[in-house]
Amino acid sequence: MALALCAVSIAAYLMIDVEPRPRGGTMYGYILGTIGALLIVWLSLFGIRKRVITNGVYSLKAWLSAHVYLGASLLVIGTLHAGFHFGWNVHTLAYGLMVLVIVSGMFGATAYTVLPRELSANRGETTQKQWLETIRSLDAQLRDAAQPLDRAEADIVRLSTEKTDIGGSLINRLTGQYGSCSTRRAVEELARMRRARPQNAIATPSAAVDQVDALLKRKQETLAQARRQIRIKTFLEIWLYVHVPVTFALLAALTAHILSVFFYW
Amino acid sequence: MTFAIRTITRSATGGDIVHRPQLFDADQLTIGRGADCEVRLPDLAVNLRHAMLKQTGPGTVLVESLAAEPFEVAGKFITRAELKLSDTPKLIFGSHVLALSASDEDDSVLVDVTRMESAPEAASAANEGKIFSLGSPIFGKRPVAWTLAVVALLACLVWPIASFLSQDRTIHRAQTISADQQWSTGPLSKSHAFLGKNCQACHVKAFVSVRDDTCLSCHRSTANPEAARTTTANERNWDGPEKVTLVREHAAHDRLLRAMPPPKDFIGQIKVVFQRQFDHNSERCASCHLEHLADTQPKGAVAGTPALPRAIPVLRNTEDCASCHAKLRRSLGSTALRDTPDWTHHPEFRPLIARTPIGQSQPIFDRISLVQQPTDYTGLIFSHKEHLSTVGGVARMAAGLRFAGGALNCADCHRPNKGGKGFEPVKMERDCASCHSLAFAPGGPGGAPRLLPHGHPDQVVATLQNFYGGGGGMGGGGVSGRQPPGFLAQLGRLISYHPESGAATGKIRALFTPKGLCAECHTVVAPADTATLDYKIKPIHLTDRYLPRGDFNHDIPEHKHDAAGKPTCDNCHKAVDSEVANEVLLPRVSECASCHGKTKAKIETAASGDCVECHSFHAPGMAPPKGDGDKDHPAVAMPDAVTADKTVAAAGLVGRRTF
Repeated sequence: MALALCAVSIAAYLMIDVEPRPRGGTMYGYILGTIGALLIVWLSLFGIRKRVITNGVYSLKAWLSAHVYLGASLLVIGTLHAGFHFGWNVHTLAYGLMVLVIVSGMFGATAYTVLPRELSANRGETTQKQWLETIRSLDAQLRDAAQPLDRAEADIVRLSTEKTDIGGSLINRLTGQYGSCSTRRAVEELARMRRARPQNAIATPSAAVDQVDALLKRKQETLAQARRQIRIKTFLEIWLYVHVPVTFALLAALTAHILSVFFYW
Repeated sequence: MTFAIRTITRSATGGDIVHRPQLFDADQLTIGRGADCEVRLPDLAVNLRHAMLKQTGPGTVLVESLAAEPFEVAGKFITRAELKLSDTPKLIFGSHVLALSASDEDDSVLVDVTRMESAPEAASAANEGKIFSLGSPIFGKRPVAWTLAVVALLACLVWPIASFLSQDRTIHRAQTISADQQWSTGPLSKSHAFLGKNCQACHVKAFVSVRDDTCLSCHRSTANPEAARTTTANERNWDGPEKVTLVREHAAHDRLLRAMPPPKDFIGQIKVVFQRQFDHNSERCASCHLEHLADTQPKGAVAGTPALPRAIPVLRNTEDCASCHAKLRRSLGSTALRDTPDWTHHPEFRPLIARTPIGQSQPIFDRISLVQQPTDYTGLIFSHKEHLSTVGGVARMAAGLRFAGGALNCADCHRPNKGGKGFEPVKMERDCASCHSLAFAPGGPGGAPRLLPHGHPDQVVATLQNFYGGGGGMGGGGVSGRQPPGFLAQLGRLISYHPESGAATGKIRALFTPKGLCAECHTVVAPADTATLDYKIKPIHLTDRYLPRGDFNHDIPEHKHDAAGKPTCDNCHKAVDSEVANEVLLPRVSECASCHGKTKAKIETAASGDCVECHSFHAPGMAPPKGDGDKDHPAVAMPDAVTADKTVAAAGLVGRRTF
């Protein structure tokens, strides 16, 4: 249906010869504009529709499919409505916002076709709760194991147990790079400390330090796996943070676009 | 010296559990994480051996760090403190609080150890949502969505509308920023650029399409000087360019609407319904003259197209001429115009002819088809045939006058006007007098002969009375064979015919007789009372333009001369056969069609058969300016009423001159 809509739009666009150039203010332009505006309103109603789950032909699944394809076709309709002509005005603002919404939606659609597989591959049989439990238990073990450690070494352990931010910032989540992760720093610090001081000079028994080191490294592995999960989930969610707010802005700009045309008729 | 250490832990229900005290009989205690410490605090923030607690006297203790690591007392981090037990001081090591007090029973020191509530762990299950889904690191969707929507509405809708409502529209405003400019769909043409910041100059009312009155407030062409002043003032008020194209409506608005047939096709009818519904009708100025498109080249623009931005608004024809004029009589019964569906059905030319006898003060004009071979009342006695003939007296005289020889040709009398489009009016003194001399005696200024005043019979009488009555030159009208032929020679002849009329009266009467000089070209009205010399000449009407609703340019090379460079006048104007001046020497429309409407394949000089070759919309009597359409339109308009042809006003329109 969406493909047919695009095909008809493009064919009509090519067939209708508008002087001096194609634009919104022609009969065909108004038709496309009306279709586009109705589509935008209908597509934004998905936010309400998705909160109600039903079956059958008009199921949420069918609705989502239409949302994706008709949304993509809007890119064609909107561009033809504009006649490939843009400027610094409220009309192009509405177009720009529309493109932003559609592109973010396309990103989302792609993410939802590709990423869930990766998500379950990374997860294996583990649940999010289990990851957190593992980390909690590793923290407890670290605290116990570090009891015999002297102050400097204990502080390193505290760095990991107290300062580790599992999710991290948006950039951390998107890149999967946690360069300043406290656990990683703890591992590095401990290694450096052990290199710097000869074995016999360390006040605490090396067995305790070895144990702490092993625990820290296990925590690091667990964190890395959990963070891969977080990264994938971030990609699954991030586009909505553009898609939804910009849709609202688009509805406002669209209102201004339509009203302004009739206001200065 | 005794220390009693009580560990207090919190129960699941929130109550405190006080464990049995451990008693130490020693001078001092060590506080730390190490297994060897008396007060053991399993806290990584505490040193293995952190501090020493020592009783220094009755009710006083000393706390001192064993390394440089401080501890907290009363909000301060210190390494040494002497404390009174009566103050029940609290020492804080990491997450543990040591409350010191003196025992009520003996002199021992009580140390209550409690662990503070620590912040929930980062990896706690309660944080699962926060950690694994996005939300905490960026703003929530909902507040951002509403903020963006409100900002967009305020900036793009509320602000411009508010500025629209608050602006004073009667005066020109030199604003720097107009809120409503963001609504502009594209730049204005150069001619209207000065209105760029002033949307309301044209968009006067909200939700009302741009009206013709708005355009005409600057562009109205009017003969009314008061209205013209208003137009100029309006334009100046908006700071417009000084030169403005003045136009009149093609026809009165109601007639224009009636003349426009409803579209035949279904889509066209739907279009009209929408146009009416949305108040965007297609007969407005703005329907054809499209603004805000100055940055677009016409489709298929070729080299030489004027540079952008465009100089004037884009012109888009909503209707072609034929859509109204094909069946104009059906929709406008009262029209004087003939239906013209296309060039091949163009009606025969109908020159504007004076129907009333000469001399009537209010001549009545009518348009009479060339098919009827109309005659015009010129009042002149003139034969084109005689003057253009290559043999005979005229030709000989012309040859004699011009030495090199040859008969007269058209250009000898009809001289192109400025621009060459039409011709200067024929003037007796310039175009006729070299042969039809008005000289009557020698002795004029500068040695030239004396001339009779042309066009004023009473002055002619006075001049001759003065000359002969005064005796000057009596009999001096000596006929000299070398004089140019004409009046001087004739006068001598006349005098010889009337030997007894030595007085001026005889000469004057001779002048106005049917054989006299004046009567060669004019109809003389003899005086009612034959005793007087009150001679009159019947008035002359000469028409500059017989076809006021069409344009013709004599200056176009194909119109002017043929391939060999020979003038083509007689192709269209059959003057060589015309013996009387009343004949209308216009070509038939078929003459035009011999080139116009043909193809180059058929004829070398083929040209377009479009209506706009000869008629423009706003000034049907003028062809539209040629070229890119960016040139100024001439400030010429058609008459207000379509039926004006039959009125006196039409006389001015055709440039009819009466003498």
